Amino acid sequence: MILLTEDSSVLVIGGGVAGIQASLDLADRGFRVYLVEETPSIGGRMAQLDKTFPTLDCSICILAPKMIECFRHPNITLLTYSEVKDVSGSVGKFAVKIIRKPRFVDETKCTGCGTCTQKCPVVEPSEFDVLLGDRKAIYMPFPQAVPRIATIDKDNCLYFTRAVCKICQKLCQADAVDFEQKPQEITLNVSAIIVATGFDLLNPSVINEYGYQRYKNVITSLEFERLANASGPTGGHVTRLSDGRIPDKVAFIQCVGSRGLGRGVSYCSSACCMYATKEAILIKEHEPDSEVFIFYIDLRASGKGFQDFIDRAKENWGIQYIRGRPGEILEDPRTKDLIIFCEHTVSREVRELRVDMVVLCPAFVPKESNKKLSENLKIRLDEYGFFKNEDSMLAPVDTNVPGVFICGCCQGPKDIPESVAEASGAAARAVEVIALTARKEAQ
Amino acid sequence: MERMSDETPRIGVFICHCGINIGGVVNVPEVVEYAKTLPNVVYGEENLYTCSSEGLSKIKEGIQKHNLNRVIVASCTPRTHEPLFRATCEEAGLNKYLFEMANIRDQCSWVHMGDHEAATEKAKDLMRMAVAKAGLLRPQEETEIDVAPSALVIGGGVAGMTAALCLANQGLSVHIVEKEHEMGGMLRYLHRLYPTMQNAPEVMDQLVNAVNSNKNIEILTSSVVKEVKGFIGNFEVTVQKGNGKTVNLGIGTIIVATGATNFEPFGMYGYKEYDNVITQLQLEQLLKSERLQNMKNVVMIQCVGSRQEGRSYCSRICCMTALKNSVLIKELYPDADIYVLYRDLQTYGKEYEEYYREVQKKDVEFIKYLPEKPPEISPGQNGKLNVNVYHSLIGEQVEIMADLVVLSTPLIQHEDAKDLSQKLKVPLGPNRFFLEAHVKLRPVDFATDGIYVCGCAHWPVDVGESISQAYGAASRASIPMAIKKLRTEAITAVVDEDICSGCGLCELTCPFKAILIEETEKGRKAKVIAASCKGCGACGAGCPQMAITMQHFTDEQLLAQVIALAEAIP
Amino acid sequence: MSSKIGRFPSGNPRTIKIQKELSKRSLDAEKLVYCYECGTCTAACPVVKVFPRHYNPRVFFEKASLDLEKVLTEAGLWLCAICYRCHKRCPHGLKLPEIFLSLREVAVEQGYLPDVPSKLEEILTILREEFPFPLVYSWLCLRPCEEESKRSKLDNLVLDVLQRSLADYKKKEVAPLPKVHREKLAIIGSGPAGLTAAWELVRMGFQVTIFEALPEPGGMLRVGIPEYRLPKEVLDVEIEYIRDLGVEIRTNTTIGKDLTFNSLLKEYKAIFIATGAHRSRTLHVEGEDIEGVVHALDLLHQANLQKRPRPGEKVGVVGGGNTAMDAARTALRLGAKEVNILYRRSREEMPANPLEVEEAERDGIKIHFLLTPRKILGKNKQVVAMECIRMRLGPPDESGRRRPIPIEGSEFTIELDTTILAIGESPDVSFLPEEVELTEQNTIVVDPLTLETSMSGVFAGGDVVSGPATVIEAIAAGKTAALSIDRYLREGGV
Repeated sequence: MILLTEDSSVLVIGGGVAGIQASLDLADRGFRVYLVEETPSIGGRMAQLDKTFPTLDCSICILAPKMIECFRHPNITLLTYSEVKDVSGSVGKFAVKIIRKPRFVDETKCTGCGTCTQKCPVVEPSEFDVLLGDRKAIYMPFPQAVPRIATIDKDNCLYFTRAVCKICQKLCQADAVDFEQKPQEITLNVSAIIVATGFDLLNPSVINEYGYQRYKNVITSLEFERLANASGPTGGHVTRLSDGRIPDKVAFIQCVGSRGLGRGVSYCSSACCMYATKEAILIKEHEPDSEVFIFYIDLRASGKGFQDFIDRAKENWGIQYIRGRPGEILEDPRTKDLIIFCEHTVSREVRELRVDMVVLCPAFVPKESNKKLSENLKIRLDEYGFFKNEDSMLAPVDTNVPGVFICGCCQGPKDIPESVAEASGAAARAVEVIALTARKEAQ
Repeated sequence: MERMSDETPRIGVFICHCGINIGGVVNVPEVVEYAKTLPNVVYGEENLYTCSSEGLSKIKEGIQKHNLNRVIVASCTPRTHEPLFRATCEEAGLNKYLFEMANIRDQCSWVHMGDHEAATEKAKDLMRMAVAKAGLLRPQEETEIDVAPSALVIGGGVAGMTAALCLANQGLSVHIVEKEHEMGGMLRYLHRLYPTMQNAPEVMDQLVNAVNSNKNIEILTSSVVKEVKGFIGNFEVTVQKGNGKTVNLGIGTIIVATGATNFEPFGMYGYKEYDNVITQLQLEQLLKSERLQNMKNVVMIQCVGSRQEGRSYCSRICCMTALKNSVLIKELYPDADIYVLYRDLQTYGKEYEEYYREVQKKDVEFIKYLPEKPPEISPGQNGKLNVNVYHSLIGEQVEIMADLVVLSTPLIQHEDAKDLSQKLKVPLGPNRFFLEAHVKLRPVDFATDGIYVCGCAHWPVDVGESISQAYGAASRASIPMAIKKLRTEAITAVVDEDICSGCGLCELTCPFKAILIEETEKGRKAKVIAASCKGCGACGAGCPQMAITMQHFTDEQLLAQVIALAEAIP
Repeated sequence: MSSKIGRFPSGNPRTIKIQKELSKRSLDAEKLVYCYECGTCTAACPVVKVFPRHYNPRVFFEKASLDLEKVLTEAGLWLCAICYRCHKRCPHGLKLPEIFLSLREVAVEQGYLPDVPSKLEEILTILREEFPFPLVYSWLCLRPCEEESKRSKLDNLVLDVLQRSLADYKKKEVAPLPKVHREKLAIIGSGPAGLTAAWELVRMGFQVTIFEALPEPGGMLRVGIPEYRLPKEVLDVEIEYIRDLGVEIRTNTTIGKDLTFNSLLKEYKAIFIATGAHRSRTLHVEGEDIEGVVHALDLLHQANLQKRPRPGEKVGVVGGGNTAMDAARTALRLGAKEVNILYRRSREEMPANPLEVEEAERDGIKIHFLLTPRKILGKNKQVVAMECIRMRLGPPDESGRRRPIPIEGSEFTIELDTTILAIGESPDVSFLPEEVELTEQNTIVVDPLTLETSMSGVFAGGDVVSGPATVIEAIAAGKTAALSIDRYLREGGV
């Protein structure tokens, strides 16, 4: 016998894989779920990846069905392009104010046909493509975006900035463009809240000697994922940003800004040893004759199937692992190749390595928006700025506020299976707490 | 009102422009006209957006006005709108499985944007194939099954107890089956838990008391699962109790939380040869029982029996365990010198890297060794052991006169896991840990519906991670029980028992354990468990007798599509 | 095989003593426990580049944790150039140079190194193999205290050995080396990079001419580094040695004025540009032209060329680098009563060597953070005060350092009579033809491995490439350039 209050609903903040999993678990159980996502589409970081380790599944291919399930689920209301403004109340009866930012496109009419995005004359760097690729002022962030509804970027749209154009409105055969749309404030009454807002990557410019932003062919791992992804800016070809050439020799640098008491953060970002190996294999899959090096300090492959993945990378793919953290990366001004100076600590020699491209694996850092959200929800942040759980062993998804739960990378760096299990866990705890609260009130 | 399906098919075709996605490449009006010439097509129209509310109304209108008993929508991928169109047909009184989609966008206009003529021809081919199949479609029914509101948790360790409590607090009834005579699993042997140094017995007692006092939980210790029959929502589990009696339980969902055991490194590094070579677990016992003697030099060797030939995995918890035990030894004997011989230090994540620094601060020395040059143990003076290791980062041999050598060994699967896996019909993966449905997105589910896994039964994890996974498994396991009824998939396999020879190939093939060989009056026959069947077709494809038909994808239907396509080939 | 003693093993009285001594002198010795041997320090270290067989800081410190007493007897203890490059790159920001200095003291004072003089002789022998000026280098990296009363036991021993070596040097007869090759090579600049390249090349048998704009050779070694850090006598002796080997040094010769660059191209087969970075940056504030506003390099220049400049009584030094420290400490020694350093960021961002900063503060110099001058105020054409504004740190800029942002309304005035500007030096590359590619900061663009510029046969190294850096980095560049030039000439192209 399960006690559910009549309108038991849960707010899930964040539409990445963790938020999606928590929403689906709760919705499948019959709860009403409001999934709030600040960007125009759900999907989060996992949608940006090319493939996932250790199975080398196409990331969006395994995620999209879950995204669509969220969209179609009768119990889930997707509130994309929306933000949490204010929270009051307590477990069982939170009142949450959500601001729905205006997309200037009528969600009920837009069919996602994409005509408007093709004809819009304004080109802007695409946030989804980590600024490497372009989008229009009216856009859908990526082909598998859910919901498949166009959004107008007001700051760059010609109509909003210079009162001209309106081509999208003229061409839209569903009559969905609405320049008069206003921000909408809605209040939701929910019994519990799950925070699943994910993470950002540290800007590796702080490790200045590695040349990020100074040298064109030094990129971050997320930029690499977008290059490798078939729907990315280069159509899935990993090419150098300086000249569009396919690199023959690529080096990955681990722990950029992680594990340090000096610059960057002091913790380990957990997933980088594995994802660098995956990216290295992707390069080899595309270009079997290329040489790939991974500069690491401790190889962290303790998850299921991970050590085997690394062994295969070494033995089957010939990827070379060098224990050492480079002292400096310099650029050859003529070719824009990069020269890495690193001590091979196991042989105690400092060697120079010339490569065509360097991929930096920067630290996972908490999102800037965590601070505001923590104030709204009155939940604590830890010393790094991640959301803090009540007890990392016994109450991993609970916060100091009953009824508010956290899961996924918003509380610390971890990989996808851990985020998914934690998200289900948060859903379970939410149900447990709602049931217990309801029972208490019934007495 | 249901439309009769045994009548002559009356097919209605709705071809979508999808704005310019299809219409800009494929000549939609031409395809509509072509469709109307196909057999059994009595109505055809084009829509700008068939998925819009306007388009859906037109479908319903078409069904009513033209007495359609089959509907084809030629548009995008079924993944997006097939359920929507099916629901629309249902609303108009047509069985939703009398609906077919032709993907002329993703599989046509999107990939042939450069050649409009060819794309149009291909759209016509796809149309023809859809019409051929639609004519042979039959209505299907989804049935509902009841779900017993009772869960079975196999294993009474930290994962099992956490999952059970979570389910019980939601008002569900839970049975925990534990093969030992007491609950607690590995927690019984642990002293303190990293990184917070919580007291393992306290954590265990808390959980055990909570579980004992919860009215919704029944505990069966000294008991094992003897037999499992049935399927999700309707498992019949026979448990053999300690006193020899058996009890039958009607179970809705099952959680496997059987944990793991510790590898004993016989023949390695002098284990059992010298008294002062022990495992971390044995060290934990000594610390717990306060029997650890004072000592000067302690050497801990990581990766003993793991990350090598025959057992290639990293057991994840041993580095942190060694660090934690170092801290405990230092608490007791501040003058002890501790050396950790490691290969790669697994202090991952937010908290463990910090813990590593705490341990470094206590002057524990870390020496990286290479797998090809492992440490060597030989007897020294006065019962001490000579540990000789090549310090790979300085390129020199280092010799330590150790009073105690502690071997960090991996967690390994229980011997009886194979037995359990066969009873539950769930697979074991590499290294015999239970294999989940999908490594990334379904880490605590099995492919077999209704059965879930968490904790070390799945892969070595520590207490905190076990608890997290246990909550996850509880969430997944509670869903079917919470909604009380499950709708089964209509598109399932169907066995013609007259033809079936009982060879069992289908049972071996099915990943969901949804088709099983059973004894019937006609002999051994394959029986489909509709509740578990996903309609993937693997059994049907493999059956040597061709006794299995996949509903909605019959051989007849598929062949009709192939023949329809072949018509275009001169 | 080394037998185990262990890092500060608890219970061992000898090493407990070492631990105590070390903690007294260096806070970072405690932080050293967090090292996980990533190797960045070794990879960034210019001394490792020069002495790969003798020196590896990572290995040194790991061995120190295993057997501290043993490493105290190793040569590696003495080779660190105190350039702090490792500190800037280390993920934990460990200050390895100060630990080295502390260990040196401990080694001598606690008797772990009974025969210091022969150890130092050993070091000098190692240095002589690879360095053109081992004594200059030793003075810089052993840093004997200038004030006799404050000298430690080690300082005295060091000075003994160095003075003795200096005396030996003066007496030595040196014959010019044979010129094996026909090619003539030109080096512009007689600083550490130029002198090192010259020394290497003359040893290989080339004919080398150095062109030096100033009246005396040495570059920054002469005009930048103060006398208390490096006695000019030492520099003179070692440069003389290089001249004796057959290197021609033409002083008072400015390329671009006395000779054109193109004329060099015609006469010499290869050119190494090592002109350093001697142009002071300006603040671009009102009052910068008032008398009493001095550029740090000019002050150091004059002081080191014995021109006895007279700073005022209340001096303000604007800047946070090594030059600012040098200028401040020189001003103090030239008679200023009060010297203040004004830096626009915080202590953590200061580019100066932490050790220099510490010593400056010990000298009594006050360092003020997070402020910058807005206006220099004068009366009767003399500096009387400086109007400053307080700063706060904003988000990081492209260099990764946090950008200082002025706090509006926080202006205040400091009274002083001398302003020394030490906000950075840049190279003067006006004499170069267009073909030689430059960066936005006016440094020369070179291939990172060969040091060749965009003009074939023309190489560059030292501060003119890296911007203001340390002596050891210039020495390493000089060596690389020499090898490159040799390869270039033999292969007819690099």
